[in-house]
Amino acid sequence: MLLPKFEFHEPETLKEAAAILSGIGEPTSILAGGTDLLVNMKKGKASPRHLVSLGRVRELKKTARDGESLRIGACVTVAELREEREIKDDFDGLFRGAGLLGSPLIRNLATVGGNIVTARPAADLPPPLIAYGATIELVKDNGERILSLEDFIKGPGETSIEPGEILSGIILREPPLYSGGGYVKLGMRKALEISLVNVATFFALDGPSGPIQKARVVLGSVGPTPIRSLRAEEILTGERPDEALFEKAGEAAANDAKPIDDFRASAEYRSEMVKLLTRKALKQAYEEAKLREWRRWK
Amino acid sequence: MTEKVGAIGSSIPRRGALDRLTGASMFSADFRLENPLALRAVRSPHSHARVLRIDTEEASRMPGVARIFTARDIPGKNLTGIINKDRPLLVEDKVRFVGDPVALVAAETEEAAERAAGAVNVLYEVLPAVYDPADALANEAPLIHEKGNLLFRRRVVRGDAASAFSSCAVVVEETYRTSFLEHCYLEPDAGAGWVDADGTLVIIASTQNPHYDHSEVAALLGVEDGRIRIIQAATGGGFGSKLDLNMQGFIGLALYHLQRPVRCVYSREETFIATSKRHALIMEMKTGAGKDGRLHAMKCRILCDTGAYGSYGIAVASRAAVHAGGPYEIEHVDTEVLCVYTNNPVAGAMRGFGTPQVAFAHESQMDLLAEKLGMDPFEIRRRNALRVGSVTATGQKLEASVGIGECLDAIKESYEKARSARSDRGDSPFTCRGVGIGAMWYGIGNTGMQNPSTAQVEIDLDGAVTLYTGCADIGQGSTTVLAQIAAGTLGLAPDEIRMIVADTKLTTNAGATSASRQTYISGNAVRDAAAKLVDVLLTEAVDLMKVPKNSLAVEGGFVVYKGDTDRRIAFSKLAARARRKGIPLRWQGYFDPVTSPLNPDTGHGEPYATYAYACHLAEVTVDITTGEVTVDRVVAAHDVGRAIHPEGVVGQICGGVAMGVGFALMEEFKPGVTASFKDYHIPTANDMPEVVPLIVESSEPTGPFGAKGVGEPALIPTAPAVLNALSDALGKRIYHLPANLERVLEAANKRG
Repeated sequence: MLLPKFEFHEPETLKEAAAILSGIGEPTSILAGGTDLLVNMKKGKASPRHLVSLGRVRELKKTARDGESLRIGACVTVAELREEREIKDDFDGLFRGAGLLGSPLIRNLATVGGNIVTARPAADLPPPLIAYGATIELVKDNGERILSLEDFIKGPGETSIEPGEILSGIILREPPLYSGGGYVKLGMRKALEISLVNVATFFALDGPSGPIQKARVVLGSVGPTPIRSLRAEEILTGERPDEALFEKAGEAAANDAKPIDDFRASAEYRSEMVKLLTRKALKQAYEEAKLREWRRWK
Repeated sequence: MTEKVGAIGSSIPRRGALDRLTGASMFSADFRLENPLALRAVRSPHSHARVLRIDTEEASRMPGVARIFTARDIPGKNLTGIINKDRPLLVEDKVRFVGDPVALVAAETEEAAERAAGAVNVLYEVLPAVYDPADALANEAPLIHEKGNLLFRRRVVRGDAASAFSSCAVVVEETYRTSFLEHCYLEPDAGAGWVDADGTLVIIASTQNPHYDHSEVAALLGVEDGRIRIIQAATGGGFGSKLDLNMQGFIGLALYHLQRPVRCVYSREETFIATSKRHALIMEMKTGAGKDGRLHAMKCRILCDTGAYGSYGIAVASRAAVHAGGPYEIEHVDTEVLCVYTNNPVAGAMRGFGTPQVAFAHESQMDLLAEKLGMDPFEIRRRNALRVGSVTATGQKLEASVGIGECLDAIKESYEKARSARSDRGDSPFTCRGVGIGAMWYGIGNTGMQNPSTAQVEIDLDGAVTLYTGCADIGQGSTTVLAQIAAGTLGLAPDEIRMIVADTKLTTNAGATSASRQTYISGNAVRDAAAKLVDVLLTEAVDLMKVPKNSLAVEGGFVVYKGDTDRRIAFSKLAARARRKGIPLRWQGYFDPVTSPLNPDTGHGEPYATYAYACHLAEVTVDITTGEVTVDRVVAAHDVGRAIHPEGVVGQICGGVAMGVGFALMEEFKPGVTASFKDYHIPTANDMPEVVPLIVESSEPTGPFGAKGVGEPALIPTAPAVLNALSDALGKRIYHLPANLERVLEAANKRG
């Protein structure tokens, strides 16, 4: 249960970090919060020869508004994310997700970027981020690229990150006026829990009472990656939001889920819970849409 | 004897609390030794396999490796176990569960030990294994131990249950199941050791029973008693698991051969794989009552899965049998408990020794009977509750301190309020509320066997008093309580008592910190020792003051004449006088509760000298769409005889409720699957209900100042109360613990 030996690098700028990464020819891991990596290293599941810590890279720890977008630095901690005014006001689903991740101790260390690149199927942040249509920035020594988060996660622990690349930031577009998001997580206990099922939702309305112009429903823990339920989204689009519609969307979402049986829950239970949690998360999104509208008026 | 006001019944600051808060306490892993070797066990990956060859050659040559031990290196008797000796320290011929140790590496660093442990080559011949206790009893089942897979049978028979059922107005018959549980103490097992200048092997350990460790290590090494010294370090909880020999034997073996300081610190994962679990029980229960709700008959068949080795299995089976009926009068009883070996992890002692499991069953039965009779669950319990003069299933007549009725009365008002509140409120279509009661009784001390404690109290020529006790304080607060009892007897303030605790060189045997026995049994031993010293002081004072002994009392370090408190003589003066006469200033106290062994055929006897009683009221809210349960409130009434340290009692109750909520709703150790806290859920602070502790004091005449115990009782009624509340909420009952999300949802879906 001891950490294997490794070389430790502590760059101070993103540029320097990218340069170090491109220069190392041996297995390397990037260390951010370490809540996943260090555990895996102790268990012997990961044994990188080099660790490049992003702990001193200041530019990765900022959240900044850029026109109509919000750019979250990859090394912003989950606890810090919850302190951001914009997140509280405009991204309720993400705000909820951040509040349900792990425990206060973990939230103080774990980073937003880390929760994405580790690509755990039950992670709390990717579903709401995908629901809000997040894009991510990947930087390497000789360039950078931007892609949608949805396309980035490929499977459990797998992403399309390339050797030498660093996830530097997450970009969220400010949601339209009549819109809201939700996030519901189910576990065995009330904190410090890995989701059995988690669902994030977002929709934008044409006017104060609809119809729904655009919807996203993202299911967690019921597939190798967060799954967009296109069937649920299709059902929602063009309709006025109400309880009956949400129920129909929940059933459609269950059809898109690919839950497995494991020692924590059966596939059947998970599937039932997708229906229910989708309905709840849509209801939350609707409440949030109304609230945001009211806040604007104020 | 007079009682010092302020010493007994006051929540004085706990001994060592400041050290814990500031981090000054020394836990086993904290000791800084000179150049210690790290020990690491090589454990079996198979649950049942013959060991054909252990090849340590390659591993021995690895850098930093001092030595690798196997069974052949054990100079004494390679069999351990507190009740039945069936467990080798290092396996010689075959492994019986995943985690059974086959070799032990001693190396210069943790890394080297870990690497070498991975490089020890063991050739196994895998044998057929058995994981179900019923299968293990079948004729063709693989034999785990040569004597057979049935370790122990306990029968308790009273009257004629078979014919009594026919005269019952209602009979309910159900099967209940519980799961293996992990103790989850805060401090994983750890120990350290060195060899003293005189050759003594000194072992520091996180333990609940230093004197047992001592005798076991001496036998393993084949050395005389005086060559071993066990010192209990600050210990971060045990809950029963640290009653077994965990790392102490490894440390002893390495010290014996290498004569160098060593340390052995388990990771959380190692405690999960290597240490004991709570027994999983299968309980078939049939209970019958008359129209008036009076219980007439109970038949009970229990299978108790003790895993690969006995550990405390026999005690668990015995206690489960004695307590199976609950705190009620039942005239006709027919109980049989079988304790069975399987290739599951070793099941041993865990807070309650089988009583939490049987309480889940007997309390469910009580509610089922009440329902059939159209009677209130409170009423059926109150009507059947044991009282002074009741005769138990083992034929024991209860003479005093039977506080179950008082406990029930203590929660009555809360119960009635909760019942009416839950039916008034119909808040959401997706949630429902329920209220449930769970009651229990618990015999203090070991079951039908001697389990004495000793203690020594010494006064020096300055009049200062030192208490020597072998009693391991594992966080429950016994050191404080024993100081209070000594102080209360000697008329001193508790902080005036110097304590020497749990060091086998300096203290005498106080027995295990288990079975909720230390306050009652060691408390009495302390009181006995202190009383002997008081008698010496009073005798000397009689000589000097020329007044009768019964006119004298001890107070504030003086012997005082009750008629005129200005007439007083300091302890120091009396001690000096006694010394001059050659009278000893150090006195040993002894207490062994009066019990009689249980008859092997009928189970008749007096298994315990006294019993603690308790009942909990639980209020729950169930989300019927997901199966999520919120335990809103637990009102917990406990008859402790006398609360020596009320805050300590409250602390035990709150901790017990937390453990009970886990047992009820989420905890389950699945052999072969559960590896760490990642897959084992215990309640977090957010899962805790509001706890309302109610201390009931039905004084025990044989107890120190009337005290009994509360350590295990604290946990026992919670799960039954929660399960009864769930069934009240859902109208459907769950018979299998834990009542996890899916089981609750299934019950919710089945309701009418």
